[in-house]
Amino acid sequence: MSLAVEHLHKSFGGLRVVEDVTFATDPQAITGLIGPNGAGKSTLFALITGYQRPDSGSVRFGATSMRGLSASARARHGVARTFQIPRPFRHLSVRQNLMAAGPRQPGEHPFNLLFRRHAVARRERELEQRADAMLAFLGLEAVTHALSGTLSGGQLKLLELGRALMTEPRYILLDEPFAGVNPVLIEQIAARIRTLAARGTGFLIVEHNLPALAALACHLLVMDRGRLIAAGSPDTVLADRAVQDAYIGGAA
Amino acid sequence: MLGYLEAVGTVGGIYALLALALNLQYGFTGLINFGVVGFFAIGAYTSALLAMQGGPFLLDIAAAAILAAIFSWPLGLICLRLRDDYLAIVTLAFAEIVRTVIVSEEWLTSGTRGIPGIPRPFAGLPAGTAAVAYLGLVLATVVVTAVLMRYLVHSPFGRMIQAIRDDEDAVPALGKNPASFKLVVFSFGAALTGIAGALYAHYLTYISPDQFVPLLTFYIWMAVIMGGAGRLGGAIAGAALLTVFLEGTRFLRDLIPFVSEVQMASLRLAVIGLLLILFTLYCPQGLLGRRIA
Repeated sequence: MSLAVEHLHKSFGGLRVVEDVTFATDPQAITGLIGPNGAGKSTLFALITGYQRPDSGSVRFGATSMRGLSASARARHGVARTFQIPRPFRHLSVRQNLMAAGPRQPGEHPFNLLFRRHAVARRERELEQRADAMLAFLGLEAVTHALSGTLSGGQLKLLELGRALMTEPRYILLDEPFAGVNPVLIEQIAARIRTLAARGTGFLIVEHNLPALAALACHLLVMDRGRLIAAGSPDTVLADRAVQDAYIGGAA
Repeated sequence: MLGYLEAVGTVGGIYALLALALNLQYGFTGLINFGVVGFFAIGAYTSALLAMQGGPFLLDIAAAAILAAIFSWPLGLICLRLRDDYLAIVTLAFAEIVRTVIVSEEWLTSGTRGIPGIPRPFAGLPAGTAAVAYLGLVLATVVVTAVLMRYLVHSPFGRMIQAIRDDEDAVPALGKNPASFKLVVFSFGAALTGIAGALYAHYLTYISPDQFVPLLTFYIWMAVIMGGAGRLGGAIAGAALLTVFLEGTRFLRDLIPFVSEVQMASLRLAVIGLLLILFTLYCPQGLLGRRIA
């Protein structure tokens, strides 16, 4: 699925955090989003996923406009996201965290708990199997039954990714998926992302690990102070003088 | 002495029902309901007024549950989209409004004079047996509620409300709307609180507004916290401990000479307060360990 953003604006008080951002992604292309801290990347994520309302501008996934849709409604349309700082349900087990993300569980309505017990139980078994397959992929089998609040930072990043994948998304926004994850696992996750992308799932990835991102994304967007300042293939974008200035300026 | 224990058991059982409801709301879902006594009063008055018109016991109880839930609905609609602290403020105010309305709407509630002569079920039984039967009814209600609660908490619904408690902002990203889950929990807890109110009215056979003061809300909060918020058995263990604190201090009279009755009443409250402080100081996780950070 493709994502199209047009003339998106957002200010907090007098501060313009996202200013006239317009871009469109190709289906099956993995798009990277980079920029110095405070460039507005996370706010852009929030605007796209419905966590914040834009002052103006529009967001479309495929042919569907997201105007006026809540964050949960957008997620039901197949738009998943992860958070820069993981947000585990820390008193639930790792497996329960994943199962909570599964769609179409009738047992989330108390009425069905009484009157559709078989359908609830059947869906619960399906979700359990999917959760276990996800845990195997992420290499988290050993902590299946551990409370998620006890995981390390890198494990939480993986759980965050797993939870997003459990929602059966058609477009996924990842906020720093590789931060704190060991290099071997980064390769595995990247391979999984490529597979999903080849099957038509769209990806927009914010990541400060530029080599890993450049190896994965075929298209990079660069933000600085709320604006898109460059877009193109990783090679050309990373060689761009303005991009280097923005990054060095942001780091200083 | 036996009659006294029956009375303590019955009131303790009603506290346990209130604590089970609050534990579902706060312990499992993170809803800060400071208006427990408001829903308790709605249940008590609904049931009492219906009974005075000759309504059968079970109908009174059902009406108490339904009316308490109906009152909770608009409160929930307004507050549950906002942050937790708003619900705390609004429910606290709501409970006081309920009490004020009961005091002032004399045509309906008899105001401060209260409602005497509420029929108690099992009245046909011999004197001793009736009290035991009522105690049995209350305890059976506690057991059934606890079993239902266990089923609910371990269901997919229970998983989502605990997810909401742990990190509400992460839930919309999973395609689920926290407000709708919170609304169900809030009304369900209110209905249960209403049932407890009905059982209370039919037990005491007399209710008046000064029985429905905010102090009760905070006793129930203490029960949930002492038992272990977010633990299934916590509400019941906490209510039992609360009852021991509240009733045990009655025997201070035997230990402390040379104080007047009025001084004794104040002293008793001070001792209850001291016990609660000491308990939270030395057992902050509650009897069963709390589940909420």
